[in-house]
Amino acid sequence: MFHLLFIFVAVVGISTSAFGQADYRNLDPGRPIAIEDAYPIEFRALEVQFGIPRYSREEGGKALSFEPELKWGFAKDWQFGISGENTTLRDGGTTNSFRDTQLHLFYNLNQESFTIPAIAFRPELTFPTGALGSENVHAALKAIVSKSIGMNRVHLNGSYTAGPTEVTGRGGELVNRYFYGIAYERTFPIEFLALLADVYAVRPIAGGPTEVIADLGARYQLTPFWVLDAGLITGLREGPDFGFTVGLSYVFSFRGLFPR
Amino acid sequence: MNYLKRFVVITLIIAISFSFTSIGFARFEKKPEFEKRESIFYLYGKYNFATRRVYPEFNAMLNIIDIGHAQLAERLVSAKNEEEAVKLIEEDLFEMVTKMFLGQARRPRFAPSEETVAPESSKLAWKVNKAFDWTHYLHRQVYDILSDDRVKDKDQTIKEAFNYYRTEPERTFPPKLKSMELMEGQPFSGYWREKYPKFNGAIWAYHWLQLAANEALIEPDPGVRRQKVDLAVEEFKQMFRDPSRLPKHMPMAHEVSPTFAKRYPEIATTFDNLHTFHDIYMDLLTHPKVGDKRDEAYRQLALISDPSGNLETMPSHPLPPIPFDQQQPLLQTNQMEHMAMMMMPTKEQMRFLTLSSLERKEMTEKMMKNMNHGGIKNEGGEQKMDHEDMDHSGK
Repeated sequence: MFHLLFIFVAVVGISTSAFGQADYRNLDPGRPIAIEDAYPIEFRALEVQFGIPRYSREEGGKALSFEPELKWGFAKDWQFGISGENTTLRDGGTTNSFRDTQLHLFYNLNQESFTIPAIAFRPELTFPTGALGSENVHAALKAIVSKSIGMNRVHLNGSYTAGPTEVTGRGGELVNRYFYGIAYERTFPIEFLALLADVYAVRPIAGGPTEVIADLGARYQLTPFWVLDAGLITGLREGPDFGFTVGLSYVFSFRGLFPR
Repeated sequence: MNYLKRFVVITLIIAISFSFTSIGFARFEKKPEFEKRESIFYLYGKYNFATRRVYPEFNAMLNIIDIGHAQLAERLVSAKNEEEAVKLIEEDLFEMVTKMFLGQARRPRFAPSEETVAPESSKLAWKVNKAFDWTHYLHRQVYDILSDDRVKDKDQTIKEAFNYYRTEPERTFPPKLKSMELMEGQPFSGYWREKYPKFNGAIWAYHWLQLAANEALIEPDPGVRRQKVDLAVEEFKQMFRDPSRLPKHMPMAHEVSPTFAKRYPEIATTFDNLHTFHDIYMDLLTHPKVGDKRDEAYRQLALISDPSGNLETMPSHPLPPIPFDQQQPLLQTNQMEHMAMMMMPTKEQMRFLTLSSLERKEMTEKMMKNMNHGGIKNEGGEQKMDHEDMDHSGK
């Protein structure tokens, strides 16, 4: 986790005068809802996401997670990202550990039209990097569809993960056996605000019953560089009793990424 | 469990409702196309957002202009018929942007993405959207560079921004002036400004402010520059307080920003071509006999983007710089008079502006009779276009 924090600090530190136009409508997993939209970051842009923190309470236990992510639009319609998770569990005692680290690619097939929704695919590779994370490498593929009507958007996500089932208590937010859900988004363009709600089903990589979880959240453009997000989480069937997350995203670039 | 069921049912109802609603817009999409999104970040520089920092009121005008441009297309696409569109644009939208310009309504804090303000019209012709966005980026970059005195070599930095702009030929407007025939000589030409005269004046006022800002920001003395920017903004607001002051022709660089045009001729021409295409796009969006809007928009985009065909032959001699608060005689000349002026030497243009409206009309008619543009040409040579060539099946 701290290596990712270091990347964040280093990147922001050396790009204090960098230009960026963060997109308050660019949804990414967990920021603040689990469902994402079908558009990647812009070509030649980088974005750091800083989930601070993600709290959840489940059957008496409490978890506090930090979930940083770095993304890069390395080609038109393509994105590469690396994300991590550090969790503190309080369940009688207190345990702090990294969980998994995930690399992902993201490819957007098309711009939505009146009749065709935007479609994207996201292959993911998740590595074990801590005592609370998985014990095995997992590969997943997610399909994403987004369709807007006026100021409203609907997003559908579905993914499946290949790899061994983990023992109970291992794995985290970044890896699940399967995941599917739907989100609704309302955009307020003059306010630079998006309100969000989703419901999704997720089967933990450690087995166990399928959880059905709902999120409510908002993303707000603070400055041309920064987006603030916040959300509430509740399990409708299994999953956390209650949770919340607050995050910041920062968009920037480097002159060296542009043609001379 | 009951909550879950309700949540899922409500979400599905919303999703299905959207699918049905989108059928209404499908009339614009004769042939569904898989178009690439290809969003690109704009050029990094220390000057980015300098306009916002140094000239916040001017920057606020630019943000509202973005809203006005985008909402215009959105309302055209969303209106059920022409009567509704005229009301939505000439009355409601004009009032909305006027209130924003004059500080009587909430303003956008940043430059909005067109896609968020105009989600439906953005789907109509994505390649057009990309060309508009990309050229608006260049607009903003030039303002930022000229606004920021930390930039030591502004000419070189602007050249770099322009070179970056030119790296995407599919979304650039050419640096050679395209013929006014593209805007004036096509079967759908003039329809937009005939049906929506007030908001057309607003669009031309937007373009005037953008040109005036180029001329103001090129001033090397920061104090004088600020005075000029403030004057341009105040004159712009005055046009919305008193709409009779809105321009009666499409303002161009050689008349409003001659100093800028002399120093950066390729960029000035690129912006003129962008503004010309804005008018062409509005004409084809509004004209009821243009059936396949996307097809026609892409055909027109290809025509105007072609760097060698349909170039302007009128000399367009620059006017001397005219103070922004003394440009009303110029701005009140109509489009035909403006085109007549494009054929005159500078001195004659200045004299033309002192004539009575009757005298200007007579002189313009005389000059137009002698004018022969030769029509719009495609790659294969001259193309005769008339209404019969259009697809009449659409809106």
